[in-house]
Formats: sequence, C-alpha cells, structure tokens
Amino acid sequence: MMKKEWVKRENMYYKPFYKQKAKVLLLVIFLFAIAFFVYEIVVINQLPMSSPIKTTYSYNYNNNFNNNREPRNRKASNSPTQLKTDDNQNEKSLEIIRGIRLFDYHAYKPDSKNMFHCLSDSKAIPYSRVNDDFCDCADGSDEPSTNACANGKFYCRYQKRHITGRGRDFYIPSSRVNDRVCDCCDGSDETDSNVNCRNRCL
Amino acid sequence: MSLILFFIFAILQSSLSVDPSNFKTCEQSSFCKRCRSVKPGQSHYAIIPGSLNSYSDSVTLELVNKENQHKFDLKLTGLVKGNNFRLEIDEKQPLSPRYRVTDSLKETPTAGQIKVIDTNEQLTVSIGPNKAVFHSEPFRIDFYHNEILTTSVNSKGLMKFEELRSKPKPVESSENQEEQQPSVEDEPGTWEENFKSHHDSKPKGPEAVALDFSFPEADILFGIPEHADSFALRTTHGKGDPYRLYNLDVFEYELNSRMALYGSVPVLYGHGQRASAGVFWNNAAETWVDIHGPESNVVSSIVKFVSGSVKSDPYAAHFISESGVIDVFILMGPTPLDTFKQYTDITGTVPLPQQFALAYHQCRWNYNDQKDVITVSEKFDEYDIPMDTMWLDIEYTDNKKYFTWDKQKFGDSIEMIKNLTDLGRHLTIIIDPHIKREGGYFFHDDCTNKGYYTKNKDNNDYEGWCWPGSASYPDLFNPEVRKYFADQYLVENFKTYTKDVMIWNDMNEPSVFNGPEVTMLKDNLHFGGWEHRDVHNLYGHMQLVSTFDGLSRRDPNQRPFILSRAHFSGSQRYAAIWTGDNKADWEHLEHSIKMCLSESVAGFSFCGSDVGGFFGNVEAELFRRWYQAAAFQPFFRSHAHIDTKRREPWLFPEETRLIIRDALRKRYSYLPLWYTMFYEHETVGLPVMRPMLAQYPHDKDAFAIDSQYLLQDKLLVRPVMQQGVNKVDVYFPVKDDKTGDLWYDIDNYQKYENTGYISVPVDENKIPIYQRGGTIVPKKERIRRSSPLMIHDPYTLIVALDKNHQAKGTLFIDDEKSYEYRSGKFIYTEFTFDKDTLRSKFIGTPKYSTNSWLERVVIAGLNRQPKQAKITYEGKTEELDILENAHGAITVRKPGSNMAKEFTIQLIY
Repeated sequence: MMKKEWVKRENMYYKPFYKQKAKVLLLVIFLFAIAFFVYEIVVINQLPMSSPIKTTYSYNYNNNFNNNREPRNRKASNSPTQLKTDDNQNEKSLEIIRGIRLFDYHAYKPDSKNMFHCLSDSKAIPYSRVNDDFCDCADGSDEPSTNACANGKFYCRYQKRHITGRGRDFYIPSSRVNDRVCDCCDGSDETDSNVNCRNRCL
Repeated sequence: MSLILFFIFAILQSSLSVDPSNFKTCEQSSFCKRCRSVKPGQSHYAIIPGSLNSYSDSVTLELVNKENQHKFDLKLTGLVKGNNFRLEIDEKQPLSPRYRVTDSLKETPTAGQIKVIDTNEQLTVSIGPNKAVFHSEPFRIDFYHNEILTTSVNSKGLMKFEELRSKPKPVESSENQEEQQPSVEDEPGTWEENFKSHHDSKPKGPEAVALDFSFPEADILFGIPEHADSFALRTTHGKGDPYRLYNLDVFEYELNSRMALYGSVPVLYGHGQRASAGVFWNNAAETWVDIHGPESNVVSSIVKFVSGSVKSDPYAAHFISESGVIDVFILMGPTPLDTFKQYTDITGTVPLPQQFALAYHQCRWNYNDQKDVITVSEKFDEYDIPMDTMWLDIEYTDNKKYFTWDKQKFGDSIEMIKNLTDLGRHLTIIIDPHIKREGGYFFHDDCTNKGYYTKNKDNNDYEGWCWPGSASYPDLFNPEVRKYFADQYLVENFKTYTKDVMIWNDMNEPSVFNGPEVTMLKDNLHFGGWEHRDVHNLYGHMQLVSTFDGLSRRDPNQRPFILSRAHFSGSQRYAAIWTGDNKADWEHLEHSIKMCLSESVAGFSFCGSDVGGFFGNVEAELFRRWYQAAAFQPFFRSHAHIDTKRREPWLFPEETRLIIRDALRKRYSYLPLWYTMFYEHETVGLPVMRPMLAQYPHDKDAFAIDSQYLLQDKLLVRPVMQQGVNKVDVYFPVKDDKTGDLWYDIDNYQKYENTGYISVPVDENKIPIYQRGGTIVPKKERIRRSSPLMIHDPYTLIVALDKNHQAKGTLFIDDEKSYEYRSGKFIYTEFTFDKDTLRSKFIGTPKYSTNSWLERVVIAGLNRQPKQAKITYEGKTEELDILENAHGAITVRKPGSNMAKEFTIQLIY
C-alpha cells in the first residue's frame, strides 16, 4: 500500500482567471445576454403600445350613419390609416398602420415602385390600394385596418406581453372591425365615433 | 356492453315512434265515413227553378236536397281581385247558426261587378275573363277561364250537407222507439262518438259538409299542407285514407303519410299545361280531402288519345268537413303564380320580417342556464361562425309557468339578454297556450277568476294535461282573453325581459297529452257558444293574433317575430312556421323541402325545418348536409330534443365545423337577396320558395319535382340530401319555347346550357345552386357575427347574363327593423344590364339614406373580357378596374357609389 503524500497549498500552481477559457466564455455570454435584455427593454419601451397614444385618422369617420357619403372619398389620397404617438413636441413620430402586427412593420412600407407586396404571396398591388376598403390580396393583408377582407386579421393595438416582449400576437377577424362592438380591450377596432369603447386593458 | 346498450336504445327508439292507432282513420271518424261513402254521379241536390236573385256583385239561389226536401241558400260572389268567385252554401233555416270562418281572411274580399245571363237552359255569371255556368239538376257549377273549363263543382255529385236536426231522446222503452228515432238509417257514431277512452257527446248531432271539385285541365294536384308527404298529391280514393287537416301534435310523425300534422291550410291547386286553378275551402273544422285521380287503365288512355285533350276522368278533390258551412273561393288562375297570388290576396302575405329573423337561429331544448346561453354565443364568436338568435325552450320557466323565469338558472335574465343584444343578437323564448293550474300563479288566478278558460261541455273550466301537468287553455276566441294574453307581453307586465326578445308559440294545436288524439275534446265550448269542433284548426291562429298584438303594442317601432307550430289559412300574416318535431335522418331532410314547398304555395313563405332533426342524434355528414340545405330555406333554425347529444357546430370534428361555417356564411352573404325577396313577397304576394312549375308551367316533367326548388325566379336550389354521394342530378327546366335558360353555378360561375337532368359532381363543401341567366342578385360579402352588424356594409351585385346578354334584378334597403318602410322610408332599386351597361334606377322615390355602397359587380356570361369599366353617377365619371374571375366571369372593382344614388356602369373593350 502506497503512502499518502501531502502537498503543501503554497506549492500549487494557480491558473489566472483570463486563462480559464470556459469561464471567460460563460461570462461574455452572460454579459451579452444582459446587454440584449437591456436593449430589448429600451426598444419595447419606445414602442407606442406601452405609452399613452392618441389615434388620429387620415379620414374622419362620420357620426351620422344616415348621412350619404361616397366611400371613395373616405380615404385620403395615398396615406393609409395611421397611428401617431402622442408626442407633440417630438417632430419624429412613429407611424404604425392600425391593425398590423409589429413584426410586419417594414412590410407595410411601399417599395421602390410604390407597390405593396401581399404578405403571403408574391402579388403586388399599388400602395394606394392598401387600406382602400377593397380586398385585393388573397390573404387579406392589404386591408389591415378595414373590414374589407373575409379572411383578414386585425391586430389590436394593445398587446398584452411579458416585459421581455414575449407573448402571442392577439388579433380579431377583420369582420369585427367597425362593427359597433368593442373587441380589442383598447377599443382600437372601433373607429366609428359613435361607439365609445372603454379601455379594459389594465 | 355497448352492443346491449345499442339494442336497448334501438328498442326504445322503435317503441317511441308514432303509433298511428292513436289517431283516427277516416273509417273511425263518423262524418268522414258517412261523406266518403256518398256514391258518385247520384247527387240529390238541385237548384230550385225561379229562385235566382241577381245583384250587381253576386247571385243567390236556393238548393234543395231532393231526398228530404231540405232547402239551402247559395250565394256566388264575383271578386275584384283576380276575377275569382266565392261560393257560399248554408242551410236556409238552420236549427241554430252554423260557424263561418272569418279570421283566416285578410279582410272581407271586395266584390266586383258581375254579368248575369239567364237563359232557359242555363245561368251564366261572369266577371272579367272568367265565368261560372250553373247546371240545375243535378246541381253543378262549371268555372271557365277564357272558355277553358278549369274547375267544376259537384261534377262527381259527392256533395253532402247534413242539416242540423234535434237530437233524438235516448230510447226509454220499446213502444216509442219508432217515433223517437225517425232516422233509423243513422249509423253508430252519428249522434255521439267514442274514440279510445274518449267520448264525444255531439250535442248538435251530424252536421258535416262535403263537396267535390274537379280540375279537367290538371296534370297535378298540390297544396293542402301540412303533411309529411310529396309535393304532388297522391290519389287517395280507393287507396287508403284521404289527406287529413286537423291540427295535431303527432309524436315522431311518419313520412310519406296523409296523416294530420300541426297545421291545416285548406287550399288546393290543380295545374296543367293549359291552365291552373285552385280552391280555398274556408272551414276550420276537422277536414279530410279525398283525391280522385284520372283513370290510368289502357281503355281510358285510348279514349283520351282518340278524343284529343279531353280527359275522361279528371283529377278531383273531395273536401269533407265535420261542421260549419260551405264557403269556397274558386281561384281562377290561369297561371300557377296568378293562382298563388289570388290566394294571398284573400288570406294575406308574410309581412317583411326584421333582417335578423332571416338569419341563423340557434335553438335547443334546452340551454340550461344563462351561463350556457352566453357561453354558446361566445363560442360562435370564438369559431367565427355567424349567429343571430339564441332560443330558449320550456325549461327557462319556473315550472312551465309562462311569463316567469326559473330563478335559479336564469336569475339575471336582463343581463343575459343584454349580453346578446350587445352583439347585435336576439333572444327568442317560448310561450305556450297551456296554463299551469297552480294557485298563486297570476295567469291561472286571473283566468279562473275572470272565466277566461275554455269550458268543457258542462261549462266548467276544461282541464287537460300538458308540460306543466294539470293545465287549462285560455279561450283565445274571446277578444277580451286575447287582449289579456297580449298584455302579458308588455315590458311593464313581464319585467324580466326586454322588448328585443321575440316569441315562439308552440303546442298550440292545442296539444293536450291526455285528450283524444292529443288534443282538446270536440264538445268543449268557446266564446259565443261555439263548440271546439267548429273552430279547432283556428285555435293556434288565435294565439298568434294575440301574440302579434302584444308584441306590436310592446314596441310599435319593431316588427314582431313569432314562430308557430299550429297554423291555419291566414296565420302567415302573424308568424313564421316550422315543420315541427322531425327526426335526424336523411329522409326527413328531403321532406323539409317537400313540406315547405307545399306550405310556401299556401301562403307560408316563411317556413323551415329543425336543422339536424329534432329527435335522435345526428351524425356529422347528415348534419353538414342539413345546414347546407337549410341555408337556402327561408326559416333557418337548428333545434334538438332534450335527450339528444349537444350538437353545436364546434362539438363536431373540425372538417364538419368548417363546412357548417361555410354554409352559414353563404346564407349571410345572400341576406340582401332574402330581404328583398320577402319585401316583394309582402307587396306582390308571390311565394319566395317556388316549385319548378311556378316558373315553368309548361314543362310537364318538372311538375312533380320536389327535391329542388326556385327562390323567386333567380336561384335554383338542389341541395345534396343523400348519404355518401359524389354527384346529384339537377333538373334544368324547359321554357315555353322549348329552350332552356342559362344557369350559372353560384360558386364558380360555370355555365349550364342544356335542359333536363344533368349529373353534377359534388364534394363535401358543395351546395348545388344555380343563378338563372337574366337575373341580378344582391349580396353582402362581409360576414359579421350577426346580421344587424352588417346594415352599413357594402353590396356586391352578381349579374348573370341570359342568351341576349341582358339581366335584371332588384334590391330593397331600409332600416331592417321598424315599420317606417310602410311610410316610404326605403330604397328600392331596379338594376338592368343591357348592351354592356349596368344601370340602377329607383322604383319610387327613395326616402331612406344609407351608408352602404357598391363594393363590386360580378358579371358572368360575357363573350369577351372588357379592358376597363367606367361608372357615372351624380354627373361624375370614374374609371374602374376589371378583375378576372372564374370561368370567364369578371369583377368590376369598387364602383364605390352610394346605394342611395343612381348609377351607370359601362364596360369598355
């Protein structure tokens, strides 16, 4: 049987921390993650949903249903229905088309030929036909703010989410837009001024 | 184990279906047996010479029964509308007055100027192109339209009019037997009658009336609903029982049967290629109709062939009623549509329903509590299936006491109703006429104290057995009782509901579980001393009069919606009807069309069947097909028995749910057409749902078709009603000039040009429906969760061109709810397409304004594709895009003009 040999603590070799690759790697990842979350939180806080927003519309929905109006006049030239952050001092306001998913924010910008590309197929339509109250895309993506498309989806403005931004996008069928029933908790589906939706989000 | 359960279930099922022995045959019904045994060709009735009195609008004559010299008054009146005739025959001096039905009539028909020519041989009364020729002995009247003999009264000599006689005293001893019983020939059952354990004391004795009507021009007889039978009437003479009209609650009724059902509408039509005619037998007592068919042996057909078109033995209908008088309207045609209109001119049309009533109804016996109701409504939203009305059957009440709620289950009924109305939905609740006999129940106490109940023969309150147990039946023939009943519908009296709640009147035949044939005793007494025998078929009708009055007074700005099971001629003025307690099987699905077609030509355009079948569990395929069929029937409601499995669409596999959703969305897209059709029904009086012969009266092959039908002259509907088929045979009819119309499949605009049966492939989603070339149909293609939410939505027009590239159609728009349309607040537009141009033109001046606009125009049947279109309205012209559609059809993109503006759209090549 071998005799046990004792080694003195002072005689052991210590690797400096910067030479321990695994630990450094872990630390770097950890720091990156923290930075990412901080970034995310900042970005999310800049989004309109968590700050008080006033809705303005490019057209004015008439109070009186018995008033004859031409629907083609409802729509103002080429600008889709828009949301603006209520930041009167700030010149640069974020414009988000009502009813779209934030994920698709960039898809709702006109391309170089001023066309809009339907989201789930290659069909392109003039950008002026986005939200013109007539359904042109087979997937209903050209009418995010109106009820023109049978299979369209309307994403409510208020999306209940975790602080990290996770959560499923909440939408209602387009047929519930402007049907005089408040479906979104923030009432963003009803722009008829004769319907007053109470904010039920919080 | 499951096998055993299955067998137990099967045994239960078979023992549950209708037992025909609970209901009388003609043989068991003394008056029917007496009248049916009259020998043809030996009529004892004759006109008394010199008895003629002529007036400007009518003639009167006296008839005599040559057997006993009893005299009768006859009156023949000419009517302004349709140049029809009304024939009334009553005893000259009856022992007591005989009942005359007036409640069926919309108003007293206006009499018109007649011309009387009285020569020695014969008397002729004419009005317009029609004339009646009297024959004295035996008595007969022949009715001609433009010299074509269309209807002949008593030509078979089957008339029988039993004069009222004093009842012979019961035989006390053998000595006076002879003088006490003068009519020894009276067979048993004449003076009193027994059926099962029930006794009918017949205080007035025999008092039947019977008359036959021949239709020499007819190749088909139809009408006299309600029977679970084919649209074409079968020959019953010498082949079993006649058709019976006696409102009865038949448990699990049999198909292909002439047995009586819930409703009785005694109007019968005879139609042939040359002419159509009809008779309306205005009698509310129990009635049997014996159908005599043409002889079909070789000899007679040779005779027919040799003698040309003259039929040796024409179709005839022998009407037999237990009491009352003979009061018949002869409808002179000459086309089927003319005849239908002549009937609704007399008895009225269905008033334009609120829009929601034409949408989809969700019912079940029973939705258990208010939470259940709300959850079901929410589920429809969750699966994005449109639905307009939730229904509550009897279990919502406090122990079947109507005008009360079960406090445990529906404690907050107002909140529940608000939950529905917030979504544009409605609630309909059941109110039956049987009243629970329970002290402290206000309705019962009031009826007892004020003597409002129907009396038995000894003048005490009649007690029967129904859902609440011991129950009595308000005497709705008493105007004061009707007012009392109506008052209960006012919101100040029924505080736990709102004026948006609509009413379902069920069990109003009346149904009495322990009565003879599940109804009331015939010797019960009503207001004015009339026996129940005289008025039976009107009892449900009088409940509807009362309900309609109550709902009208509850909210004068809202058109009432009422659903009724019992009905009589004229009930269509107050209520929609459904075909009662059907069964979840394929044959019942087929009968939903047959039965509603018969009802539709008899004034009841607002007709439907329980989707899925009331009794039994429905399997997925049948359920899908039933929704598809019902989506194109006027009244569209799903309903089920309390013992069946729950069957809301989401309880089925996803595929089934989606097919049902698709069918419902199709229904909603066609709501503007339904609404326009019902407006036109009210104003014009023609049925919405029409048999093929209505539009194609010369196409003999189409006469008896009852597996398909037309909606007006616009859509041909031939739903799939067989299990597991991948094709159906659609009959495309032939016009007068032997050519056919063009028909376009509504799903893909595929064109059909041939006539006759064409086999069409179908998949699970397919509802074979075709739009006729030459028509323009309005639609709304934005489907909301309920129809009131669609009121401001834009319209789509479907233009289906005929061979000349023309088409026309109409659209009616109003507030979809109030009576304001009757003071002109509507937009009624006619669209015409001709020479590549679609024009809209108002009929009358539009006094209603709308936000709705024209979203798209689909045009099917063009030869070539236009490059562009331009719209002109209000002096402006704008260019429109053309989009390609299936099978060469095109879509004009977003014309955009407001529906309250006239416009012109021109196609540019």
